[in-house]
Order: sequence, then C-alpha cells, then structure tokens
Amino acid sequence: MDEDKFALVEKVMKDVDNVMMKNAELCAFDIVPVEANFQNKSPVLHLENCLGLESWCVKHVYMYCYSELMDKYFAKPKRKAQKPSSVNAERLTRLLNITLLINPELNSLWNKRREMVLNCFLQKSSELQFSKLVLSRKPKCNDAFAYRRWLLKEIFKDSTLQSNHINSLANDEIYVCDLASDKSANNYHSWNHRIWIINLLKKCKNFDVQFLFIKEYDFSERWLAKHVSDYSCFHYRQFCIENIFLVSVERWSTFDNHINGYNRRSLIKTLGNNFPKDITVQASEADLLTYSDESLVNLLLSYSNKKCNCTVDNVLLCRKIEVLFHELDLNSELLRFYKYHEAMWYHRRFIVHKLISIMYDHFGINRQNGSLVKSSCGKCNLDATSERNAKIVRYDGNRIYSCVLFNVLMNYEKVFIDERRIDGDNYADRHEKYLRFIEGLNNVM
Amino acid sequence: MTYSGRNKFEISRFSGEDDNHINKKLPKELLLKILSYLDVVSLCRCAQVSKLWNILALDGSNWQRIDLFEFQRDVEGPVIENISQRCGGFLRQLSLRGCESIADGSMKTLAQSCPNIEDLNLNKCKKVTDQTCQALGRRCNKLQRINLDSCPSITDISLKALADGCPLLTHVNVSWCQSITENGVEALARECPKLKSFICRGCKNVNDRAVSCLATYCPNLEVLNVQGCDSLTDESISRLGPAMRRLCVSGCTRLTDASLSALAARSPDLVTLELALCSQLTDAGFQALAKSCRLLERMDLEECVLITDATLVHLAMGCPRLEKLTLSHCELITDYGIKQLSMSPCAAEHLTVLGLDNCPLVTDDALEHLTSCHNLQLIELYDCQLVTRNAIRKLRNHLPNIKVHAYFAPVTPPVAGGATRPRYCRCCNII
Repeated sequence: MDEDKFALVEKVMKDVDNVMMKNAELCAFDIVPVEANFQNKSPVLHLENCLGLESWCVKHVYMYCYSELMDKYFAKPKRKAQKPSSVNAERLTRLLNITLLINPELNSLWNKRREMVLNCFLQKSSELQFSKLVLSRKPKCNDAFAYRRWLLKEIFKDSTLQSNHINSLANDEIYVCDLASDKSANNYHSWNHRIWIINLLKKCKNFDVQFLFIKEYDFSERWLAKHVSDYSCFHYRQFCIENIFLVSVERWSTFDNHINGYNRRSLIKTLGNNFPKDITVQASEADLLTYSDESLVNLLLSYSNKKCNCTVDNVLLCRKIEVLFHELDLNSELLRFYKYHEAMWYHRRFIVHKLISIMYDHFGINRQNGSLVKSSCGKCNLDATSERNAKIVRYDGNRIYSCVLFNVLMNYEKVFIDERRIDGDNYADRHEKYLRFIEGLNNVM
Repeated sequence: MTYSGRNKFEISRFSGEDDNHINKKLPKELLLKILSYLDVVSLCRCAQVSKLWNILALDGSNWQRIDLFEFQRDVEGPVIENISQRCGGFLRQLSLRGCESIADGSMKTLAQSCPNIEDLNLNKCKKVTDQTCQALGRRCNKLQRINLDSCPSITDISLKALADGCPLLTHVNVSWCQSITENGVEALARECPKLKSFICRGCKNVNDRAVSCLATYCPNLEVLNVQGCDSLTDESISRLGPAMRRLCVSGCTRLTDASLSALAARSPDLVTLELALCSQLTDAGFQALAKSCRLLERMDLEECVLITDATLVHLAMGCPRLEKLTLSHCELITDYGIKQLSMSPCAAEHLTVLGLDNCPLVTDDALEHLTSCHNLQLIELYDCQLVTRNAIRKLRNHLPNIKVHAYFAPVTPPVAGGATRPRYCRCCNII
C-alpha cells in the first residue's frame, strides 16, 4: 500500500512539474479545499494561468517530498548530503518546487535554491517567476521576498545590463508588490520590498528613477484613498514624499503642469482661509497665485537669520511646503470621510512634524530635549558662531512662532481638531496632545 | 603478471619487513587475486593497511573496471590522471558518469596511458569536447562502447574521429548532443560495421539519411533509439534490417502505418517497440505488426490516439509474449479491448505491466476482466474517471501483490481510540 502511495505522490509531482514546464506564464497557485476524492481524478488543477492542488493530497505529497529532501540533501553530517549536480538537479528542483509551494517558510530550501542558481542549475529569470508564484499564495512570505532581493542583487551585479531590461525588471517587481499588497492588507513585507527595490534603482545609472518617484508618489496617493488603514502603505507614502523632494526642477514642473498646478492652488486656498488676523500684509488669493516661489517663501517664512552664506533653495522649499500641505489637505479629507482611523492620524503627525522641521531648518534651529537650540549649518559648519549665539534662542523661537506659515498651520490644525472633536473622534484629542507635548507647542497653541 | 607502477624490488623489500602471518602464508599472486574481487572503496581501505598491501591494492591489475558514480563524483582532473597512470594498460572499463569537472586535458592523458580501454562512460561530463574523442580515436583503438550522453559540446567531429580510430565500436550513445547531424552518423555507420546499439535521444538533427546509413552499413544493429528526432519519416524506418531487437521512435510524429508494415516485414524479431506520440498510427499498422512480430515483449503506445480496441485484439492474438504494454492517452480504448487482451495467451502468463492512464472509457468492468492475468504486477489507472475505488479493492482481492496506481487518496487506517467518553443527554440528565 505504501508503494502505491509513493507512486501517487510521484505522479502528482510529475503533473505539477508538467504544468510548470508547459505554462511559463503561471501566475497563481493555491490549495483547493477538497477533503475527500471519490473520483479517480488528478488533484493537480490547471485553469488558465492558475495552478491548484486539492487539499487531500497535500499531506502525503508534503511529507514525502520533505523527508526525501531532508534525508538526501540536508543529511547530517554535511559530507553525507548530496550536493546539487547535473545528475540530481532535475529531481532536486522538482522536490524543492513542490515543497516550497506548499510551505514557503523554509529558509534552508530557499538557500538550496540559491546554491543551485550559483551553480547555474536554475535560471534567475525562472526563479523570479517561481517566487512570484509562491507569493501568489502567501503574499506575506518574507523568505520569498528575501530570495527575490538576493536574485535581483545577483542580476544587478552585471554592469552591462540594458536599460530596457532594467525597466522590465523594475516593472515586474513593482507589479509583484502590487499583487502582494492587494492580496493581504497591511503587508509590511511587500511595502518594504518596494522601498528596497526603489533604493536599489536609485543607485542604477541607466535608469530613470525620477520618473518612478513621481509615478509611485501618484500611485501611493490613489492606493491610500482606497486603503485608509494600511499603515505599511502610509510608511511607504512617507518614503515617496521624501523621494519627491529629490526630483529635479524640470521633472517636477512637468508633473505640476500635468496636474494643472493643483498643489499650488490648494496651498493658496488653505493660506487664504487661515491667514492670521493681525497680519499687516493682506493679499487676496488671486494675488497670491501670481506670486513667484521666491516671494511666496518670503511671505510665509519672511526671515532667515542663518549666519552662514549658504543660499536657500526657495524653489525646493516652496515645493516641499506645497507637497506637504497637499498631503495635509488630503489627510483631512480622508479623515472626514472615513472617521476614526488611527493610521491616518499618525500620518498626520508625520506631515505636521515634517512641516515644523522644515521651518526649524529654515530658521537654523534645532530641538533638543524639548528646548530650541541654535544649530550649526550642516553645509558650512560654523560651530563657533552658533555657540556664541546660543543665548538668543528665545528670540529666534518667537521669530518662528510669528511667521505666517506657522500661524497658518496652527490655525488649520486647531480648526480641524475642533471639528473632529465635535464629530466624536477621540483621536483628535490625542493629536492635540501630540502637538502640545511631543512637538513642544504647548505655549503657542 | 606484471606489477605496474612500482618494481619487484620494492615489493620484495617490503614483504621482507612485513611479518604479518597472512603475508607470509599467502604468495603475492594469490593476494592480488583476492584483491581483484574488491570494489573501489574496499581497495582504498586495503591500501592503508601496510606498505606491502598499498602496493598490491593499488596495482593496476585490480583496477580494470572503475565506476566512480557511487563513490565520488566531484573529482578533479588530477584524480583521473592518477588513475590512468596507475592502471595503464590494465584499464578496460571506466565510468565517469556525473563527474562534471572532468575536462579534455585529463581525458587526453587517459587516452594516452590506457590504450586498452574498451568501455568508457562519460555521461553528463559537460566539459568534455571533441578533443577528447579525437584523442580516443588516435590512441584507444580497442574501444567498443562509448557513452557521451548529455555532453553538449560533442559534435560530428567526435563521431568522425571515433569512426576513424575505433573500428570495433559496438555501442554508441550520443543522446542530447544536439549538434550531432547526419554527417557524423554517416561516418560512424560506414567505418564501424559491428555497431549493435546506437542511441541518440533528443538529437533533432538526426534525419532520414542518418538512419538509412545505419540501416545500410550496420547489418548487426539491434538497438536503435531515436526518441525525439522528429524529422524522421517512414522512408528510413522501413529500411531497418532483420537484426533489430529494440527500437524506440517515440516522438517521431511523422511516422505512419507504412513504418509498421515495413517493420513487420523486415524485422520480425523485434522485442521492444516504443511508439509514444506517433499519433498517425492506426489499427491497420498494428494488425500487420502483430501478424509477424510474434516475439514482442514490451510496447509503448502512449498517445497513439487513433488506435482502438481492434489493435488490442490483434496484439492479443499475435503477440503471446507481451509483458509490458502502455496505452496511456489512447482515448478510444474500451472495456472490450481489455477483455480481449485479458483472454489472450499472453495475459495469463506474461503480462506484468499495463498502463491505462488517461483512457477515459475504461470502467470497472475492465478491472474485472483483468483478474485473470495472474502475473500482473502493476497497473496504471491515473485519471480513468469511471474506475471506482471498489473495483480496485476487488482486483486486489484477486491479485494480492498487484500495485495499482490511481489518484485515490491513500486510505489511512481508522484512528484508534476514537471511542471517547460516553455521551450524556443533557436534558435527560436534568430529568
């Protein structure tokens, strides 16, 4: 009877192998819950580009393959274990395939695959395909993601890589992340992998990473509108925002034209609604729209008492403020629509923190242990002056608290917190406390 | 007997020092004789016993037949060079199957020092190229069998060199050497008339002319395997001669009934015939075949989709020695055909393996007929969806040793200790 069972398992393995050989486009694998089979029918299902295995055979197949792998290829002591060679490569691949499809959380087996890739028994491209198949069933499998990272590192070692090849690799990788994020909510691994691949592409010479930055910025905005609780994606969004600051001016202006200067207009609208009453300069929204980046920054931040000679990139500064205010607006809108979601409130903390630190930076101030300290300019390192001037910090602090941008931000936050509080959102109180005590704005709110 | 490697003086010196009883009682010749029965591992162990035994165990005469497959496969070039120097002219048979690191350099040394080699197996030695075969052709004129399976760098040049230098060749295997073409095969066929076995699975460039040459110049050809050579047609297959015993033309999809008729007429002694994927074959061809090839024992008819019960009737009547029959994916086969087969003379005594997987029309009745095949040891029933578990159980009752391959889940023995605590009815308890 046991022999018949083994024959059955061998046949199932062969069937799976056949499907994988015949269909290189295989995109999904899953175990289909069929507890008992009354028909003499193959448990290997192949429909369109999907592969399925009926659950009744899984136990037998897994036990058989796993024990053969462990007995022959992972035997102890190590010298008794068979090494991958052309004699056993095919068999080993077959065993690894099916065992990893059923249970991908076996790092030793992934390592064996790595060994086989290094010995050229497995193709890197087909391995990417295989790990994708694994991820289609277990989108949170870190081992599979780690294997992909390893493969890509190996591929990118080749410096003669064509740019269209890089493009297709990048697209594939982003696509795999999309699928994995889609299949499983809050998929830390897939978003983390996405960050990794973008960081890898940053170092790549013949790849247009700035275009990707913009694309991902746009994508994460759309994704978050649909998945308001995906905290992993919020983290990714923050990564995208940091990246968008690195985009060149030309690239940014084409993107800005593409969205019709929407960011600028919404910033100005927010400014108009929240201008402090006592301000001497009165400008209408129509006027503000005609302002250049330079003069807008001058209006909002008015004064920089940096002692150093570094030039301030007002265009970039303006872009940062625009982007962050757009983010703030977006966040408010989502919070009004999908109430009481903690993840979004935390994202708001990030935005406010970022805005405030931009201001600190602009005024050459640091926050240390809850008090404001004069900082040295990172670029020209004027330590001596900064120490001598450390005393006038309070004065500088007041400078910040009286600048237009700060007042607009505070007003905006106060109005929003009140509005949410009336709606019964407990997180509004917590947000206020965060601003007061963590950001140290207790005395100005 | 000559002591290769070291001289007699050395032996007498060490045997004088050695005062072990066994060495005193037994003459060196007998010791050598005993050692000659040992395998590689034991010989190496004996070589570590004493200086005298070291010389005796490593004597070339003990190393006439070497197979490193089970012993060690990741050997490097120097190992082969040592072996060839030690064995010298003694070496008759060497198998380096799966020794991937072996390259041309060490093989040239081997060819130089071991001119008497008769059987060389280089299966999966991927680094080996034509230079090896050229060296073999120059030096090893006694070579009879060579296996170059899965050596992708081998080309026609190798076959020409072997053909020129080794006229005694009987067995040649060049499977999966994709660069082999008709020219190499023709040269081989012309120069090696003693050829008995030629295997070239997966060599897509082997065509009608190649096989025709083999058929014409090698009258003793008994074994021919041209699996996957899909350009072959009836023209060459129908030239094969009467010596033919085992023929594999699986995957030669252009073959038609004409081939079968020709084989029936010209090669009546066929024992094994593999015809998988030859989907143009029909009942008519098998009728002719079954009439004259009465010695057939093994037949593979996988995916010969046109054949029907009629073929089984002819085989049942014509081939009384049939042992192994594969009918996978022959979708027209029904219970009637199986019944005819089971009533034939071959069924009761010889039939041991029957492949019926993916024959959708086969039902439980077929298994009932097969109960009369006493010798049946294995039956494949994958995906025969009309066959039930019950019928298989009945078949097992009649033939207790049979292996049945089907997609049914293995039955797990009923869980013992399933009888748990007595069940109380709550409501009754309250009352």
